[in-house]
Amino acid sequence: MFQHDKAYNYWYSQPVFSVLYILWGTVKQSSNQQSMMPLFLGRFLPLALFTLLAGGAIFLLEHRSHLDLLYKFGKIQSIDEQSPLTIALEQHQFITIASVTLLALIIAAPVAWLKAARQRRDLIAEHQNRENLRSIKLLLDSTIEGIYGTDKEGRCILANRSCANQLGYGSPEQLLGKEMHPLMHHSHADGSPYPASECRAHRMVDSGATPVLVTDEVFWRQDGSSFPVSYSIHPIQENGQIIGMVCTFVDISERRQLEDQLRHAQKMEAVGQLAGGIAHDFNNILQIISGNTQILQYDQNQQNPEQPQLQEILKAVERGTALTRSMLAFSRKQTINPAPFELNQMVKDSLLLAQKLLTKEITLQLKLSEEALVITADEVLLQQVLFNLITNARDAMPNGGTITVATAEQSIAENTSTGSLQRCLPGTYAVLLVRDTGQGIPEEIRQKIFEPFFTTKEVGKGTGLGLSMIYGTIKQHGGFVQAESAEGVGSCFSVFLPTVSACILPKQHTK
Amino acid sequence: MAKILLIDDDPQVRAVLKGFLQIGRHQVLEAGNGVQAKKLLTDVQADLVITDIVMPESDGFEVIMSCARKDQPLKIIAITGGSPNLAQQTLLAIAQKMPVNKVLSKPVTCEELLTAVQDVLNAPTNASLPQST
Repeated sequence: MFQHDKAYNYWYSQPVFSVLYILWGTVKQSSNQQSMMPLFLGRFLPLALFTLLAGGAIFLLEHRSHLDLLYKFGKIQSIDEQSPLTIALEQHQFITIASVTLLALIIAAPVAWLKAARQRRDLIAEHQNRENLRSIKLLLDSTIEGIYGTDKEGRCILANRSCANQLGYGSPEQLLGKEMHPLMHHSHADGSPYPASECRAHRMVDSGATPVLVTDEVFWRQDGSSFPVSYSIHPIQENGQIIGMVCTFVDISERRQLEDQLRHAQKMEAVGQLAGGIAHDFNNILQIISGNTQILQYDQNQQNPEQPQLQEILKAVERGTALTRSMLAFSRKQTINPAPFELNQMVKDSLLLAQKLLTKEITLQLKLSEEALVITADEVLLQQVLFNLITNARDAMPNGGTITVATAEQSIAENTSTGSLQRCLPGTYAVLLVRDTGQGIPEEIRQKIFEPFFTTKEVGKGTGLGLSMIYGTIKQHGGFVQAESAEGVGSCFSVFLPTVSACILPKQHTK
Repeated sequence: MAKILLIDDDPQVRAVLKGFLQIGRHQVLEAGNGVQAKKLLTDVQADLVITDIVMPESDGFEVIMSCARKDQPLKIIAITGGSPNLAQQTLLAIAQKMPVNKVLSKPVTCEELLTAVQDVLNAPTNASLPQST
């Protein structure tokens, strides 16, 4: 150990070793992460080997030709002769050629070094480019927006993952090189053709138009379905020339749906306010008509006790009064008197009265849940809702059929996101369901059935307030209504009302 | 036969209600709002007041409160058809909590009104409300 230390100190103290050590350190440092040395050696070693081999070959050739000359001029007896002259010549040649070779090596070394440095710089630049590309791709693939670029002819030069996903393709590579307009922008929302010449994205490349934002068109998926889209297009410019365009788009189906729901809710609210506003005057008008009629009836009673016309006026007033009440119920300004009660019992109690609404051709079926369904609601209003639904079911089956009234308990999970279930509080709901075997509701009017004054019945047969009254009442109770229908099979209306536990649930959530 | 003060801002409605009351052979005094009613009541003693609730100037609630503050509180029937801002049910609910003998909603039939009038007239006299300070 001691000896080893001694030897180490001895060598380290030698100036030659110190210089070499420092030089090696410099080389190591300048090569930065040691990547310079292999590059240098990779270039220098073949060069050095070649120089050495060439030097050796030249030496052998030169030596042989000199010996030949000496032999021809009779300075030596044979080519293999070893004399002071040949030895001196050999030494002279070796020194000369070795010096030249060494010089070549000394010149080759910095050249190789410079070349290695340049190669290293290129390699670093290439690596950085690759890294940049990778981050750009990662960034593009991480956006919700679909992004694609096209060349002047409208062929895809780049697309991100979201673009491929939204258009129904497995990977962005499947889009590369394809003409985008005929692929996903070929038709309008109504299915009519959308020629590329009319497409704003296409025209931009030719006309150099300013960037545009479009929100009223659709894009088409690979499977032939379409989705409403909001897209913006910008020209891609290089040296002042437009060489293509880039398009950013988002699927706005969900936004559209929410907008529709909001518009619908606002419309209902407005009609409700209007109803409340006119109810006062309307009641006064009805009072004047009915009052005067009754006075007239009284005055003429002695002479003509049967006054059918006056009776008709009073009947009309009764209808008017019912209409105002429905409108007020819909306007949600009607005060409700909620109290806990059992839904199945209410349905059973209402059955006798409900039977009176029906003709012989219609059978009424009950499918009540086994468990008790306790809800907090205005029992009288809910009974009205049930009668209203049964009346509608009856009217949907002019030739008879079956009306099923069922109840059930249903849990709605927190992350439910389908149909009208998406906006309700999670929890347990009591469902009151009325199903008929009638003609069903065509798809195009299903959206409108809850709107006030919408009716398919003949003039004078329905006010068009029944379902909207149900909508208003159930909403006021913290529930919601779902309508399902298939043409020719029948319709099913489900009223969801929070059970007593569901009313408590939201409070637990806020804890 | 009783002397009844009828308050309603709509002359046509007033005419109808007056007609009903006359069928019941009552004597009817008319007022278009609470202010007119107060003036009338200083000169004339009525057995019963029938008042609308939503009226310009002094409304039905004011009439009810001022009648209730009298030494000998008047019997009152409130009758309403709702207002542009408040629903009929809400108004009726408020009126029911006030010192009134009966609350009716428009449109009211002759029979309903006359029965209500008879019921209220037959009821014992109202107790006086404590004077507000």
